[in-house]
Amino acid sequence: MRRAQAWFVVALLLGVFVLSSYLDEGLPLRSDITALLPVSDRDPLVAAAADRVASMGERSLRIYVLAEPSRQGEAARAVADALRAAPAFTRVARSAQDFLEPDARGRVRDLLLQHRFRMLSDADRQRLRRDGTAADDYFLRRAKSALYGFTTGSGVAFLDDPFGLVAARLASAAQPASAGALARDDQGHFVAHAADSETTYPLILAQTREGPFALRAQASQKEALARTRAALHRVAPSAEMLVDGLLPHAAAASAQARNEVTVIGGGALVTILLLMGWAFGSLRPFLLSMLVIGGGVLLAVAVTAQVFGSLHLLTLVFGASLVGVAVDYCMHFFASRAERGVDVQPAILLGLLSSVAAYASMVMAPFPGVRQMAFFAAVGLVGTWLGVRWLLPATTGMVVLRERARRAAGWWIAHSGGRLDAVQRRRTVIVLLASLPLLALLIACNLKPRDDIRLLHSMPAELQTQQARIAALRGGSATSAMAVLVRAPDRASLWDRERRLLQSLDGHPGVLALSAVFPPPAQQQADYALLGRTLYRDNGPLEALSRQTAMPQAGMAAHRADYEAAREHRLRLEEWLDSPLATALRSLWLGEVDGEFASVVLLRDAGLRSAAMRASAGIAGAQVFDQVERLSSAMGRYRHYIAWLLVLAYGVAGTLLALTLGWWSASLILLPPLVATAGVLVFWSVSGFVFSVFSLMGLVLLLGIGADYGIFLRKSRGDQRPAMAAVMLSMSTTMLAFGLLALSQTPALRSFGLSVGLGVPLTFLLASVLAGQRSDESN
Amino acid sequence: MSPPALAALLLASMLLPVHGHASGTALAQVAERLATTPAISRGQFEQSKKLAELETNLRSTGDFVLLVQQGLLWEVETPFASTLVIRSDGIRQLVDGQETLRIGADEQPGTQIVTAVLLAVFEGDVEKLDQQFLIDDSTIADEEWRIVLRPRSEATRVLVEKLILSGGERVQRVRIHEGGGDQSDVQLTYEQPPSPLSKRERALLAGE
Repeated sequence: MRRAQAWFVVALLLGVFVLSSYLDEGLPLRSDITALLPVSDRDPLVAAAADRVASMGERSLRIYVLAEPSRQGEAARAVADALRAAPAFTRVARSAQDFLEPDARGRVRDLLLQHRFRMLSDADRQRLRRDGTAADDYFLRRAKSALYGFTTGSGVAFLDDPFGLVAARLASAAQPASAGALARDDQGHFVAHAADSETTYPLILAQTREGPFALRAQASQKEALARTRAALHRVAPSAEMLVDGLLPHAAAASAQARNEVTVIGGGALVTILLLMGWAFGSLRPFLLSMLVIGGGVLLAVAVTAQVFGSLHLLTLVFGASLVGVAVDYCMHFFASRAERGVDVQPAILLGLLSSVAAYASMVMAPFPGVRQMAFFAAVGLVGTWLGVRWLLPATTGMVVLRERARRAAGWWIAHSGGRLDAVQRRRTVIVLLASLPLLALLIACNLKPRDDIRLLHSMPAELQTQQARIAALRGGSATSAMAVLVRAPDRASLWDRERRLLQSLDGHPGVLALSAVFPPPAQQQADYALLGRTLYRDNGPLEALSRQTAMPQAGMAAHRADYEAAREHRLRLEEWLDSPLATALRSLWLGEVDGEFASVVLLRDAGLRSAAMRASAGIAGAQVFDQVERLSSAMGRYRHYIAWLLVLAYGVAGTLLALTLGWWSASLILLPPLVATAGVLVFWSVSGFVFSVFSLMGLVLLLGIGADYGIFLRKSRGDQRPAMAAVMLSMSTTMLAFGLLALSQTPALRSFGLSVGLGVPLTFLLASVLAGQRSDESN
Repeated sequence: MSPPALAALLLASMLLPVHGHASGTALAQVAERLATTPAISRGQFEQSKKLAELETNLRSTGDFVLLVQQGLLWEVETPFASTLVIRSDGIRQLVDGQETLRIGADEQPGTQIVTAVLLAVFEGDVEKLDQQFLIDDSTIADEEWRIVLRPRSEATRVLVEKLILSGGERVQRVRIHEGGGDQSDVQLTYEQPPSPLSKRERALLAGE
């Protein structure tokens, strides 16, 4: 035993060692539901596009500064400065200018200057195309007024660009498409109109450097926002700051989940403490149990984080409650410890194996979330079992089940299963089995699963009112997470398809596309040729300009040489993507994947849906996708998988139990959770609650718990009371803990809690009825 | 020295104005010499433009109108008529009533800087200039002054490399070394008293 104890300590230390590697940066915890959903769609390009859309959307923030008019400038500056000072934020912009880093302006000018013969502004191109040489006069006037007029500060020498093509192009080139059609004040600062449309408030755009769902990043983002708020209040004490974006939602959701887990976990802990204290009249079993379970959870956290790279908050909640089920093992151990000739370890091992086998079968699921939770649960259960097997027996001191617990168990046995004889039990089993198809029919007709991802999102009241105010400031336009994926066998046709798509979307400001800013090669070539036919034709406007002004011929000749030299020098996409001009749109380019080229066109306005659908239908390789819909359908697939996995898990556990205990015992053990599952599904069918994948997950947990009840009650020899007492204890704690979870404001947790909270007492009831006395032990 | 005297000296030294960098002082001295800018100023200009890498000077003359807090109207008469409207929200160029160029401050990064600088120069707004420029050199006499300004930031340097201003009660000569290499030298003569705005001027300055 000493050696065993040493092994346990070594295992614990190992867990602590692995965990300590996270001490510096904390556990890599994530809180977004999407992280649980499948990483890969069947189509890798759709997956890549969705990824870009999600990261572009989830990181951008709009911050409204609600200050009195006289303080607005100062307040907005304070907010922008504080955000810029925070490393958690990037691309903080009060005006369009801010989108270009100050030192990037020279690079932008040089890039445009270098490619000025291939990047006409839309207006100039149109004029030259439509009017041809008749446009000469217009451009000559522009040139002459630049020559004799006051400076316009384009930063480009006259002789490099006599017709002002760069200046005209610059006017549209640097327009930050992500700023869309934001209103601006006379200084170019972004503003939002209040509902009365008279008042305007400063608006600041920003991006979080990392997504808001990684809890560590989220914490520093929240802290930076708090500091920004403080900075705002220093200059304008009565001012307010409204933050629009995913961050506040993500923060509220994780705070809520954490709060509830604390409250619920704490509640469960206190209940277990009280109940164990009542049953054993000692603190010892409780403390030892906590040590064992703590070891199991620790092991699970460490190993899962190592294997999966990050740990999802829901894994922690679901997984930890699964491992918490292992408190049952401890209760059985203590309840029967004083019993002479009773070795509860084989039953515990069987319970462990059936649960682990059931969960291990789920590791095969193609969903990263399911895989992670199943893995976590299996590792945690094994860790706990190691403690029950090796640590608990090595502890000295006697723990005795109190007489009061024994009496209560006896009473319950006498009033449930104890009343039935073998024939009645058989009849009960037949009735239960016969009821299953009926229940199934009832469920099949009435169960209406809802997979809408939005149902999983609950907003605290405070956030809701804030959201309503933001909606008013946004002018009612709803943001969307829609996009069009455009793909083509080569770049030229990709640009052509994008162009056609943009044409049919008619320059809507909510559309973000690369080709709206990057001139495709074909267009560059066309622009160059167009200039050759018009402004730069032999003896054309260039020479006329020289004749009409006092400018020496030499200057013009040098410029013409520039034009000729640029013939082969086109602007490549990569060059443009590397430039500061592309910062906001870089991630729309997916590049070459499996011999196909692809790009993403973002639709930032929910109103664009039908137009985009219509346009894409007529364009080969264009495909609209909606992030919300995509996630919702993934939730649906997720639900189907779990349903099948649940069936599989019952099969695996049943086979295992049948091989060790025989078919009759196996069915007596599994019938209670199975019927309870059906019962819970009937509840979901007839009640108005939303049945989702999380309700199903509760049923997965129910299998693990319910099978244990049967196993312990059936495996107990002689006096059944200690086993019954242990089962009663564990049932009460589980029911209370998950009953509390059913009160959760987080819909996922609520569904989960309701399933378990209802299923467990039902399973317990059926298991006690079927367990009965030893009369059919021979089976 | 007795403790009270020491304290008095310390206190006095704290109350004395602290002289900062020379640039701050020179700008302040310029500000002292400049008269308050009236709501409307107008006059004639004579511009000589020297293009990068060419020796030729291109001369032009015309009228200008400044409406404080609104904008600047630049009407070239010779050798070629054109109109430039500079407002904080952008720059418009018109020839024979036809718009040949429009650059919105919200569209093109930098235009806001240019318009702010040009308007500050004409309005004699020393404080605004100080935000963008450092004094490189200054000559300040009783009535006359001359300052050489260099941009504080790279963003401004791309557009304006150097700004040389001189004058007395008003800014009389503006020399701009543009980021692209061209140079403009502008002489201003003010009309005293300025005649009121015509309907056309008012409309142009209002951005119409």
